[in-house]
Amino acid sequence: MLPALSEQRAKPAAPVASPSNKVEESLRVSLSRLEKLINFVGEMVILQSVLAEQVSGSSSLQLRRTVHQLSKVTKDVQELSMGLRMVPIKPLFQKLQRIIRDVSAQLQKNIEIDLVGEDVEVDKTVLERISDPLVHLVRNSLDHGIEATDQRLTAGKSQKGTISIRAFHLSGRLNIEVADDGGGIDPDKILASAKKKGLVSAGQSFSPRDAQQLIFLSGFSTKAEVTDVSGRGVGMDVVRTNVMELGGDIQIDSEVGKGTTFSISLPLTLAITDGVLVEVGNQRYVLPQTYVHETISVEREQLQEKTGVGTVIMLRGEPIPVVDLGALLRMKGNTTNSADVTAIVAKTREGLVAIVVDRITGQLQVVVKQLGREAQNLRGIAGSTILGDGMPALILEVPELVKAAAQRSTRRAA
Amino acid sequence: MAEMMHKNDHKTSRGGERRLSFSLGSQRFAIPLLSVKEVIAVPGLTPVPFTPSHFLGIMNLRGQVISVLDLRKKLDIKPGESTEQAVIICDLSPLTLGVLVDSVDSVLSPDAASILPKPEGTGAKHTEYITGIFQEGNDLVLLLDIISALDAQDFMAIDSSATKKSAA
Repeated sequence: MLPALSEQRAKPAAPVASPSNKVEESLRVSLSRLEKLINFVGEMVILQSVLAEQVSGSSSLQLRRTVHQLSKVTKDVQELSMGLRMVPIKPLFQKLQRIIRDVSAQLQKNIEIDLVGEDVEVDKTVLERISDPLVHLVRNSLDHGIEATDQRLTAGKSQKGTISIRAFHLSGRLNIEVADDGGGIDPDKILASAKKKGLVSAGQSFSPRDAQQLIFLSGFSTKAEVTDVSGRGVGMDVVRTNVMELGGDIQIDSEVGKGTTFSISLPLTLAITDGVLVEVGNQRYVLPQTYVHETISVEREQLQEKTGVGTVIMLRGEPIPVVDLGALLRMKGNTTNSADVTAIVAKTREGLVAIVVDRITGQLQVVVKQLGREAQNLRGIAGSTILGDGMPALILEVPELVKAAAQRSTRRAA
Repeated sequence: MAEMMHKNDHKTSRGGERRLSFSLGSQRFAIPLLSVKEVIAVPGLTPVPFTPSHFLGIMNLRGQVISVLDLRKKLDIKPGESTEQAVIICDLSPLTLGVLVDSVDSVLSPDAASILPKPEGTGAKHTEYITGIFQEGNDLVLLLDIISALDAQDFMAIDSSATKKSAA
């Protein structure tokens, strides 16, 4: 879940401007005032769309034209107000640089740092919350990634290891890459270790790339000894969880002997999120796009209920568990018993899950509103938004919901 | 609504702290006016799963999403017969909560001397929420501790575990 707004307000703004930046007059404004403004702009956008709806049938060309102009201006104002929360990534880069220097001295490794994109801007909250995962990644690269100096020399590499961190915008998202030219991730070692720990069954086979992804499983650590640089039993699964919570994604690209690159893709802001609007039992919910793998519509007969497995559906030859969103939410609703079943196939850490809904209304971009503290610790609910007609709707955190429901059913069975 | 409050305010001003009185079922309650942000008609509500039964849902108050609670359910009071209903938006900083009541009556200012301690030993439920009573015409008005009645102190203690969780 996202941190309470009130907490962000209490913190002083991070230093943004530095003398080396171009000289532009700036003004320091409290985050709470900014948030109020952004709130009001969001409300204005809703009213504007209601107004546009109301005049769309009007016969007055003049009125329609004015409202059209108003839409344009409103959109500009919204974009501008969203931009106000954006800060450069530079302070985080400086922090990482410091950590790399300190840790490499501690490990007696000779490291060259390559930083690109310190002026890239990102939402202040995203910046705050990506800091810890990035520190973890960098420490990992230094400790596990880059080999000791003598090892590097035997491998015919330069004595100096390189860590490069690049930040850039790509298709409306922030991308951060942490790359090292170290030993890479050996898929065989990873697989052997995962099997030994019982994280995967012994008979399972993996492509080298899939095997590398296993480092994201919880309870995984390849290094035999735990050092104080990295490895406190938290590991990469926490990094991935943190990135996912921000609506992001993390990929590994690693070649044995050459090095490893972690690529993180994040939304530019948490204030707006892309989602799919669904209907269940006359209520509407927003499912964040990050969790949505695909949407399917199948005949009811294709759902197969099996003892010890539950309801599953075969999708491209793979059985996918099927759950009903109404049941997940424990909300009374008249889930339709029509011949066709509409479902959203969602990505969770355990794999794909088909979530049955009454109707998929469409894709949309929503302004995220925090719930009050009285409703903030509800599992599986990430926040809320206000829909075009002015009614609030909940934004669901699908993996958490599925997990909570699974725990409930095992408790019942026990 | 604001105008109505002003009128009543003049009529009943007796110099004490100003309180907003409202009805739940057939009973009258009063809460400090300072904790009231505004009074609105019952808005459209979106139910929230995994919440207790007195949690009615969330509403949109000019762009802010606010939780609305049913005080009658919380205090085990049968709803009144009147169809008039209102939501009192309470500012219990840092919380803002909406409270559904049967009707909003008036602003009263009973002076401190006329406020009596609640009778003890009646064995009634929910006595912890009542801080005193006073007479208003033929009615007894109960002073309600809105923070404890809504369990608001519990929510205030919640120090958003989300931020702690994210520390890797």
